[in-house]
Amino acid sequence: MRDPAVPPQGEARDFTWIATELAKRTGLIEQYNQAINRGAAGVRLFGANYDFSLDPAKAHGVETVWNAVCRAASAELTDSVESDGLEYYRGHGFRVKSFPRLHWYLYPKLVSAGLRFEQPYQERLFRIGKELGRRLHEHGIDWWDRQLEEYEALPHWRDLAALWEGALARHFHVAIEDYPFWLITARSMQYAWGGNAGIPLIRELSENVAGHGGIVMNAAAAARLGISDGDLVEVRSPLNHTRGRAVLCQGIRPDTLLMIGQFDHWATPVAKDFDAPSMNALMPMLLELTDATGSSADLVKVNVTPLRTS
Amino acid sequence: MTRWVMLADLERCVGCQTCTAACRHANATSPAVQWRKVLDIESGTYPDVTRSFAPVGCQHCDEPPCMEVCPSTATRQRPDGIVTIDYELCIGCAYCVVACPYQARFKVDAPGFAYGAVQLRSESAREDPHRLGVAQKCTFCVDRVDYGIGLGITPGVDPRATPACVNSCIADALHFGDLDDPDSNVSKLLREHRHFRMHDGLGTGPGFYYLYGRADGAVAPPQAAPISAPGSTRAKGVEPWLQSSWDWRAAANFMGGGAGAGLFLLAALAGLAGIPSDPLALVALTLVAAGLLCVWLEIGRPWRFLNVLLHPQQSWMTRESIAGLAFFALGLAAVWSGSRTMFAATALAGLGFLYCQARILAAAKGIPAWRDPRIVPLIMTTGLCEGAGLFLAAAVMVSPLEPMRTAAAAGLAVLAAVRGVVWRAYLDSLESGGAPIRTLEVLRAFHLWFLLFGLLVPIVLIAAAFMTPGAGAALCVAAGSCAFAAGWALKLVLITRAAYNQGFALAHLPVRGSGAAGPSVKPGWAMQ
Repeated sequence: MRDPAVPPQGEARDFTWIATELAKRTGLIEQYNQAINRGAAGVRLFGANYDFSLDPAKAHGVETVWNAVCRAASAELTDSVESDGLEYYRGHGFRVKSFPRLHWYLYPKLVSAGLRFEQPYQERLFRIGKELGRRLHEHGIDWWDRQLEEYEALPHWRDLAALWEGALARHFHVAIEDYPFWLITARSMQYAWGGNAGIPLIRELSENVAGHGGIVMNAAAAARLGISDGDLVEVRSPLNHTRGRAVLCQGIRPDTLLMIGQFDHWATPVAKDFDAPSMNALMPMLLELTDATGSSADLVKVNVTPLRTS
Repeated sequence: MTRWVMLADLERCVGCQTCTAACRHANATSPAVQWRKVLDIESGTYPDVTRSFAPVGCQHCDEPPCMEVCPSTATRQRPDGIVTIDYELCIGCAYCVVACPYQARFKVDAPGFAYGAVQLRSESAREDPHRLGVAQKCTFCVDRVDYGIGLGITPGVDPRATPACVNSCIADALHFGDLDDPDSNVSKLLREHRHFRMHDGLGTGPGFYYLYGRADGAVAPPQAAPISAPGSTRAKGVEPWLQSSWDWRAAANFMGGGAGAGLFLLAALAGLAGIPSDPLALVALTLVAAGLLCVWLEIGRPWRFLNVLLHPQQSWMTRESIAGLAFFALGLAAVWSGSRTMFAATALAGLGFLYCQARILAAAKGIPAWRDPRIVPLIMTTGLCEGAGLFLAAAVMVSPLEPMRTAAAAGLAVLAAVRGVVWRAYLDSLESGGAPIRTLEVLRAFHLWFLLFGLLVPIVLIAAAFMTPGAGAALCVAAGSCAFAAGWALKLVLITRAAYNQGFALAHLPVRGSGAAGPSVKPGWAMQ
């Protein structure tokens, strides 16, 4: 509601102020305003019977931007009957509109639009893959051919373990047997949004949930390596290494390690001091391991060495 | 009548900690002070592993051990079952903290801020200096409950009258309502589900129920053994941890109190035998005073110390204080008047003081090593033994006491033997009755040292003293010192090293999917 409980602390600024300033300084103010008009702030600023669009040519203040957003939201929710702005929401908090629970789900929409379920046989994917391949080849691009194979109507099983192990061994000239663990990551409920990483309370809460700030490892596998709970260990991939405290548990495969979250690149207050192990530095970027979406799995082979006991 | 209770559905809780955050915000508690939190409990062995989440906090017990021990009557219970703390009365002795078997109480001595030394304005606006140095805990958001009742709305149903943690629960796992109303939300849920209360065997009657399956669902066979073995549970924050509310200063109270009471008794006996012992009596009084001074330095609100006298009906700490006042008043009068009757009365007051100290520990339900009833004879006998050890040393070094040396040496030998027997019985009781593994580890490690220096060495030295009159004096001093030091070491170990708290336990693991509820989980415990 842009109604701060306390004045900004230190150098803190409203995020809209920061975004507008960035747009202005980078010469993108027109595109920035147009994006807001199209709904980048959550609500499109114009409709059939209303138009609260911002003037694309100038930089607008925080209040102006959000007043326009609020007026558009009011109009959208009331079929243009109301157009209350920011002050209304500051006083009322929110505005609601009836929405049938059935519409929470996709099925009625599928039925009303006459769509059919296409999974598991997705011929659309296959068709798009063929089209994409032809366009790429028309331009002489063939380095995406392996990824194009993934545009399948019915995916084939692939030996992902062998794919990863082979790629790592080839690129780094290592004996993959020296890296007996799979390192994976997981999202954290407490750090569900990146912005949470700067909130000390979230860190406090996350410490109630096992695994945050350490390296989760199977207790029996750890015992074989002489690692106890809380021990400092080094985790090394063919690319790099990191270290952290072992968090032993039973509910993880003996050949797998888990590092929750990736906070090593954070430079903002609180998060920069987490000192939590991250797999970011251990992950190579290999085209061979890049899938058809341009992404890859957070997965790498590693070994573990105890550094000293806790 | 109304009995407010809370329910946590273990099948539904996902461990998100939203209730923890809501509570921290609603009550503006200091960093790391979580009146409500959710435990993350893993049990079993790979690949047969269960992960459970259990919200915990003040259980608002029917028979709150925290209220019973509170010497200032700051902790009270409302007719509707909500246990409250009067921050203006509390002296911050933390007795309730160690008495609570749910680890639900906190004491914060200095303000803490989210960003370290910098206090945000939001923190400044909600800072409550009355909470510093006193006990604090979950209130069941009593202000909201009362506010709702005033409006005629139903707590647990209308969010305006419902605890913040329940309102915030994303999984509909937490519920609040009136147990005495058969049509209430909580009564219905309890009828429809299997449920248990944590540490039910301790007789606290928690107002917090855990649902773990449908009432008509399958349940683990009753003979299923609790999962408690080290390594089979991820137990951080769940298994017992060493209490830190009472440190060496509290231990010093038991050390000075026991030795002082024991020494005064023997000084009084010497007086009855016609041997002047005023200096020893003064030493005894000083020891007790020094102990009390130490514990006074530990309490959070030392200048409210007179509030310690407000709960003689139940609190052994209040009774200890009254006995202590009688001990000092009678003792000083005895020394001043030289009256043997006064000496005897003081000795009795001292014994009463010592007994109260023993009962203080026994009433601390939150610390398994203390609440064992055999702690009472142990604290009593070691107090007497420490006093006898000091007396024997004094009987060697102070010539007027010389005639008492033989009797004192024999008496110490007997007391040391009795203490050894009582110690063994205490240890056996803990071993057989179940105790935190770490408590047993500490006490087992201490066992041989205690037997050696608290029993064997003093008796051998005393026997040697009888056989070698030439070296008798030195041997008696060594024997007395040994018996005395072993007693102090025992108390230091009991208070500061073996005092692992109750930890948390689940009487049943929740149902997962269409399966049956699992066995109980009690991490960090050795059980028969």
